Amino acid sequence: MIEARNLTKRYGSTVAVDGLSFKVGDGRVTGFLGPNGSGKSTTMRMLLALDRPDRGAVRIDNQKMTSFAQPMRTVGALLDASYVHPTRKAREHLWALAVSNGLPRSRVDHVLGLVGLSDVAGKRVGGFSLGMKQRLGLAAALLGDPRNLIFDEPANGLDPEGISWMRDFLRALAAEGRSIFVSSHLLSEMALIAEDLVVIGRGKMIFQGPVREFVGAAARSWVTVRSPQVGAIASALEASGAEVTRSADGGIDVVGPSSMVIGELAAHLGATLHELSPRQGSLEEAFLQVTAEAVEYQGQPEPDHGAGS
Amino acid sequence: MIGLIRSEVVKFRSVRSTVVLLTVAGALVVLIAVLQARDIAHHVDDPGTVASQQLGDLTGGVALAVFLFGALGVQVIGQEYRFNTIRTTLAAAPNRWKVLTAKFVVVTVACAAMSALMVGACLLVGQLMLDGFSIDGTDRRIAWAIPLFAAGWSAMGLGVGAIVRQPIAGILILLGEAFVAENVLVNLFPRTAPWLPFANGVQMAMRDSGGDGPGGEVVLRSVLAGGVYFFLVTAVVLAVGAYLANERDA
Ligand SMILES: Nc1ncnc2c1ncn2[C@@H]1O[C@H](COP(=O)(O)OP(=O)(O)OP(=O)(O)O)[C@@H](O)[C@H]1O
Ligand SMILES: [Mg+2]
Repeated sequence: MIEARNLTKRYGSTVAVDGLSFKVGDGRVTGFLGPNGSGKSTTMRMLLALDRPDRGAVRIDNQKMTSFAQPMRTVGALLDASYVHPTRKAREHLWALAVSNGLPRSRVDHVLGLVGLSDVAGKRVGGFSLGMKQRLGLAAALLGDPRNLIFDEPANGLDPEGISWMRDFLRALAAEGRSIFVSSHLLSEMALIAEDLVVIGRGKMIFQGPVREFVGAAARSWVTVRSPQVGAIASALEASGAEVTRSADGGIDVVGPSSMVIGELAAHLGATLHELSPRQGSLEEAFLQVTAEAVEYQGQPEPDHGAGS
Repeated sequence: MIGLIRSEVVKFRSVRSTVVLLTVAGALVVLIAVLQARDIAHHVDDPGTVASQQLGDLTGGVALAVFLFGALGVQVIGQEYRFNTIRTTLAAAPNRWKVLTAKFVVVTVACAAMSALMVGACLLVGQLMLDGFSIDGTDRRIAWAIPLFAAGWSAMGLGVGAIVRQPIAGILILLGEAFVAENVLVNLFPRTAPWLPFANGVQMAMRDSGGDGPGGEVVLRSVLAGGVYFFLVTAVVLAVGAYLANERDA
């Protein structure tokens, strides 16, 4: 379990992270969302005691990061795939890390196999593609078989097949009971793998909880109706105060009444229904709406100039 | 701690530039020893000259090699910042004092060992190439002092590297300090001579201390006091580097 309490970090006059508190539970993937420059990478560096928070504290399995003699056995991280020395071979990169935590050489070969890099283990990392470096970073994070994993945009640079591989990989890791904290801008991916979300904007907490709740609260929901008598249904719904939009293919999208209410109304009108589908906006839609609001609250009309990490 | 030292050894070995630097430093000293020995052997028959044929006449390349050892010291920490591997390193070993200690041990031992090897090679060169080759008390001091000073200057590099966190800048600072700043300073203000760490320290590894200029106006500390002063300065630089590495964000 990873726990952040009131984490705050300033860089000069920029408040990169502002009083964040959250928990990353065991056995689940917790997605970490926020626009560019919202403080995700900074938060992750503080979780790992790389950056010193101005205020607040971090606990990993209820302990301070600095109290672990061999932290790789408790927490593994992939912050940025480019954090490698180009003239070092992949196996040596992992071996140097392993030996610092008293891990046996067999772990190096094991994780290389897990991420599918066994064949290039003896190659210098400088020649690796971004996707290969991501896999190497993942292997490094898994060296100590840790219960807690922190990944900063691990799908960055992966091809579609790699992304789908990463998805299954993270799910499998969570299924083994680990806590997984992962940031990503690929919201459709996040919708597939995360159960919980931590959403931040400008360093502040916007939402923390199950994905379903986030999407339910923030995204639009509507009902698509198709019927030979669609005109009559639409008029009746409009008369009752519902918001009705006609779509190009002859159906209507209704915001307001539930599908049950619409179904009963149709029956009352004696209309035949060809389709009556409740629909909900995507995680992406919810995210865009919520983070746009976060920007407004702070009275910042300009777009976010987040410099990235 | 043993694990961290082993890890630093793996990192040191597995990067081309560090291995190349160390090897070049060794080869340089031996090459210069061979050239010196040839030169001495050539002049030894000149009438009216008494050619010195001491070990200390062959180890002159050390002054150059030491620069490479300093660069190595900068590299072992500067490269980690340059490629951001310091974050991977510190996420695996959050105690930064221990990480720096491991780096200190590895780089100083590597430089001292390579220098000891070089001294041995110079000895061999002297014995093979010079008929009148001999070793006196000063040579014995040099034989000890070369590995010691090499280790010290690499530690200085480590300290500077931890402060500037940038390999090129760190190497230029070391080079500029030893070969430019100290010379300029002592020429403008001769009274600064006892306070120059490199000039005072390097004497212990030299047969004729560069202490007095033609007019005898440059007065360094004695070999022993100069050495002690050099190691003190090194310790301070290292301590500042370690403090900053500990305080700053990785
Ligand atoms: N070392 C640093 N020095 C100064 N400012 C920094 C530093 N690191 C981050 N920042 C600033 O802190 C803010 C948060 O940056 P951070 O990289 O954490 O955002 P992020 O959410 O990871 O963004 P992205 O999605 O682009 O990766 C930004 O305004 C950034 O410019
Ligand atoms: Mg980031």
